[in-house]
Amino acid sequence: MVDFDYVSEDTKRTVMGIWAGMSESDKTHFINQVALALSVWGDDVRGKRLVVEVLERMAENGTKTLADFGIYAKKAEDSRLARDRIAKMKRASLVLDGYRIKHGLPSMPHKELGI
Amino acid sequence: MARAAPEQEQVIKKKKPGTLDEQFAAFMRQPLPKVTQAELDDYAKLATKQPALSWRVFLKQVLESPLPAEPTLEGYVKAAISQTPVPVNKEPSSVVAMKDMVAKKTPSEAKLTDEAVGATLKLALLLETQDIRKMNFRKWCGEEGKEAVV
Repeated sequence: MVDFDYVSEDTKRTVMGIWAGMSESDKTHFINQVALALSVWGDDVRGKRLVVEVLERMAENGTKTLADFGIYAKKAEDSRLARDRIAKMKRASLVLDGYRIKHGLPSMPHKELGI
Repeated sequence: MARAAPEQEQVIKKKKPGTLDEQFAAFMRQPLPKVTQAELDDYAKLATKQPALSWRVFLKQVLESPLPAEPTLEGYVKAAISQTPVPVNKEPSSVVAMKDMVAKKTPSEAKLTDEAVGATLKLALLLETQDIRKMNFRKWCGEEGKEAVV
């Protein structure tokens, strides 16, 4: 079982807040993208830590929906955790791109409008 | 009030039901759907065949498309889409987002990004003044066409 004590309270609070405000379809897109990513990255402890790292980046960047997971997962290619699985990371990015294209999801993260 | 030692705080947190820690753990442990190799291959193939169309490229297409019969934002979007060499049911996400914007009218309802809203509003403003065809694309993309202003 993976322990999440290493995740900051702020990240947990932000992620749970975003999750609570998401539509059911966005929740499904998030879950599907995590499943796709883990099936390529590897469903081991490190794969799960990569998911957490992506969530941390999303929380820091102020995204408004976890359905943006695929966009941020690409940025995880430069993670220390991904060093010895670069090919898998690139393959996952491609798969997630395909998923987002098929389902008409945006290629840019959702953020608060500044107008 | 005296603050508990960090070790004690951990114990308290772990034993308290419905805490943020427990909610997060439950969130992270929710069941995931099974993924087949065929699905992975299909998605990878789709992305390889159809790279995402950026807003910059899409707007360039809008500006370079023939004048639409209907000089509205939707008319320009349709005209640009007709110039886009992708099947209608596999449109790039930027096109889908813009159509969403047109259909839903307001940026917040369409959940668009800053960049997308900026681009769409600029386009809408240009349409208002009806001088979209006179616009120099360089003004939109910076002096050397490297940085999008949108």
